[in-house]
Amino acid sequence: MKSTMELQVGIADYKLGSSPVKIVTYGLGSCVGVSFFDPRLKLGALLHVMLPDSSQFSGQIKPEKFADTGIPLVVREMEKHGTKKSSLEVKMVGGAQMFSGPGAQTIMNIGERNIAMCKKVINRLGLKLVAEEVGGNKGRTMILDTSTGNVTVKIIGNIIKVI
Amino acid sequence: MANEKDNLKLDALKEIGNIGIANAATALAEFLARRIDMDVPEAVVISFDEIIQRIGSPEELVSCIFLGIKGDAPGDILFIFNQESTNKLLKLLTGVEASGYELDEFSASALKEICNILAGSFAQAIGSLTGLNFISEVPLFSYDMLAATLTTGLIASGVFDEQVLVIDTNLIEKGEKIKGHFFYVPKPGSLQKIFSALGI
Repeated sequence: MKSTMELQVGIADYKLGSSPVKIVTYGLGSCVGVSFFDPRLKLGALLHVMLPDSSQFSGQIKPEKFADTGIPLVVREMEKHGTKKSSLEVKMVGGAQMFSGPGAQTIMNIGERNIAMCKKVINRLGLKLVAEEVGGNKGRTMILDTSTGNVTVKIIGNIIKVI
Repeated sequence: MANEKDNLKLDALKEIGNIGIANAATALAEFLARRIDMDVPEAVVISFDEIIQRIGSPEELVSCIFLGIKGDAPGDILFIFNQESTNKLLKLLTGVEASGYELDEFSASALKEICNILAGSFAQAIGSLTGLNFISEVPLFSYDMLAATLTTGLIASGVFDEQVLVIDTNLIEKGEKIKGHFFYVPKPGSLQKIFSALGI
């Protein structure tokens, strides 16, 4: 049963599903997981953002990889399925500082930048950010339940929080 | 990475890995006064998800040590040890196994020191092979979910493509079955410098 009920999202990718599907992405470090949920349609999506800004890169880019291109892409996809932007509930998880040591703050500041850009894009699109579990120094698994809109966050040691 | 020239380069990388890691394994063996074996390294072009699959499951607890390599051909080195190997390594080094999901400062330092030795001897071996200057920097440390630490480390080293070129191998201490993954991630342009130094 589990396999047909659970969609898995890889790095720089997204998945869309409707109730009762659960959408999961494992082990977010500096990456940020952004979930989108339409309570009326019980339709959800989960995006695994790797980097903040696509404009830093030239040539062919994968839009799902970046906050500035990935978030609008997922919103458009959901709109194709009948969602209105105004009814979307958005949640954010991840963006941790995984490494410690001299210079870690500057070498490994990508999490912070991912969080900032995701918020900027969410704001710009006029989306509702209803919950977040970001920053810190722990890796996180993120699971969106499209039957409720709840997001379960797991850290190592099987510590679970629902947002 | 299909044509003959590219295959030759992958072979050259594999050989670099071979020499560098053999040297690192010897240094570790001397440090621990134990026999350390290594698998023949592979030079591979794979996706993030495939790298994770090679090592274990994405939520598995691992220690990850990240070292910048500066000099003529910059890059980064990442070491990954799973929880069991982390514990066995700590037992060899400090006499005490770690417990729980956190490592104290002392244990983290011991692991970082090991990786310092490994990376330093790797850099030295490639340096004398190519005549280029490689300097390993102070290690950074993480003890957490495999997918979270490894992807963060790779992204920090500037791996932004879906496909990643890595030299991957295992270090094995037979008696204790310590299994560690080693990744060398050259920065853009560094491979060309290494290859031209080798006349490829």
